[in-house]
Amino acid sequence: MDVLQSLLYGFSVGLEPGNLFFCFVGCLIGTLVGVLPGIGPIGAISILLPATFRMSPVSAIIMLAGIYYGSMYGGSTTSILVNIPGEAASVVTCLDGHEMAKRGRAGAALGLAAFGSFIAGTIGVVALMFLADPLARFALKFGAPEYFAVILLGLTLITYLSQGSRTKALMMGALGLTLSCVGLDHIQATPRMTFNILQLLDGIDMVPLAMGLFGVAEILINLEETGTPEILKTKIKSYFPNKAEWLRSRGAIARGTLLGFFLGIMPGAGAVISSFASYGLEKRISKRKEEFGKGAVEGVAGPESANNAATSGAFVPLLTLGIPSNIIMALFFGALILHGVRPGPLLLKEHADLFWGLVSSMYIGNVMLLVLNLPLIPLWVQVLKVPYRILFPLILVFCIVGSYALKNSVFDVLLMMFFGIVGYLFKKYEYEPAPLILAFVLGPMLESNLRQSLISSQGSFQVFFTRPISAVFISIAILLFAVPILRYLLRIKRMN
Amino acid sequence: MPFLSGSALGVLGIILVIKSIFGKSVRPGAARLWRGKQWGKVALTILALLLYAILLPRLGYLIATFSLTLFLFGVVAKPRLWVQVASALATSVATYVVFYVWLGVQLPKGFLGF
Repeated sequence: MDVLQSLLYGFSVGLEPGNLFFCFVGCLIGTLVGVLPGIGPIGAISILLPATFRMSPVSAIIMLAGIYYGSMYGGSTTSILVNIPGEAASVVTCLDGHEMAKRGRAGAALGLAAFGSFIAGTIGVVALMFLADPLARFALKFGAPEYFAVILLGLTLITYLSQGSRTKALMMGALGLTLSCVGLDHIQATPRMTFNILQLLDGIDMVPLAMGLFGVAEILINLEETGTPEILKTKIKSYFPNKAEWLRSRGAIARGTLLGFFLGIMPGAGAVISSFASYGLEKRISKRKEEFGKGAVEGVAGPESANNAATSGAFVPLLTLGIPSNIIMALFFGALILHGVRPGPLLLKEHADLFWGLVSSMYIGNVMLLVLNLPLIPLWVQVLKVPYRILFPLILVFCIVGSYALKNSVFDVLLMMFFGIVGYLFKKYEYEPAPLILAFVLGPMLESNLRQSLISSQGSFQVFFTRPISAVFISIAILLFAVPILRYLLRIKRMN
Repeated sequence: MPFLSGSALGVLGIILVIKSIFGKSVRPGAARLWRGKQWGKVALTILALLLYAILLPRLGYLIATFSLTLFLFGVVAKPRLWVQVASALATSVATYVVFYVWLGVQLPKGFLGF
């Protein structure tokens, strides 16, 4: 079969010693970053992006991908042992994982998380492998209106799925769109919102924005708190959950994988939402609802599988359509462009070695991570013992270097700090930064596709509805917008 | 386009204000967000970072980072002095080596040339 042949070719790329090494490094860093609270895959990938300049595109992507799905493995370790999520997608694992640990089932929880992640990750890669070609062909039919519709849908989805106030999420989205307009206009090159500052002519770079909003803000928030987390002093007897737990988790892992993969594909959703969704699903269909929150195994197996499957799913839109589906994919998008690879439907044809090499490295990486995660857990626990006051200056320095390295500009460092302060305030007042970053990254594409569509249709908005693909996407987006408003109006009517 | 998103932002902001005035949910006041947290440390850190960014081109990476980390290591809890100095030194030098020498990332040079 064609796919298998390509896969073998991919393995010939992925098994090259250089790529193997970078895959390992990526997985290692990913696990480390996942274990350490206060820095996550976003921070690590943005900081290491400049460092990949010297590598070949294939090696760079392999390493960065390793960081990404590796962090989904590592995050569960701290969630289970210390009740502190190592990164956002592992928050849900804290709920039941830590409870399991408190009852002496820490080993089982860790094992479940690791095995679930492995199964889900591998299946996710298989799915990615089979979906890529047909989707890329489908994507070739996409014109400007379709791209606009898909991006609009993605942005709507992410605001719809945000926690907390939807109004605030929409505001963040709007703010992100506005920020993305800073700089030179893409079609006519007129400067916009640059306030005569030279460095703003190029626009705001994503890296300082992301590092400030996520990295620095996270650190500042952590600084407020007093007290140190205590690490559970359990002896971990074995890493294998007993048979009963295995049986119970089978369904959760399967459901988590499916859910995670599909949510990963959709623009706007991602690993975080997948883990939450999986937890919600498991709780809803469980016959033992009371156990959730007290150590239900499905509450660990499901979300952990979901977030790993989501990482494979997230690659699908980027590698086939050329549209990043979440923040981290946006960083990958940037990385690809930096290395001279243009993401889009032609990526499979022009850069087959990159795609298949990446796919094969994901198989290899999942295996590496299984080994890294289970036997080496005592090692990671030691890492956790490093007090935060030593960790956070290091993280800050990494952020600073990362911001500077992109354009050799101190202004970028200042930007990062500005956004750090802003991000800190956002977190305090419960404004979600995620819609902002996504809107920021997708803004230019949204706008240029909108304008191109309107230019070619000579100003008529009908073009979005007469083309079938775009009509479907836009209708869904409009629906999503309208439903909350309709519900609100209905409620008011009922009250009267 | 910025006009569109900007006006959207404005409209949403107004909606938010209206919601909070007429909303029935009981939310804790804003003051509670600041009580009991060591926001002084946060303020200090922010100041230090801003100073760092401004002085970075003058002092160069090594000196500036050394000073910054020296200060930062003492922010959360003060360790013994030699530990503080040694950690700051180690951090600055190590990152310099990793990023500048090994990975080839450009770092700012100060008036002393490094």
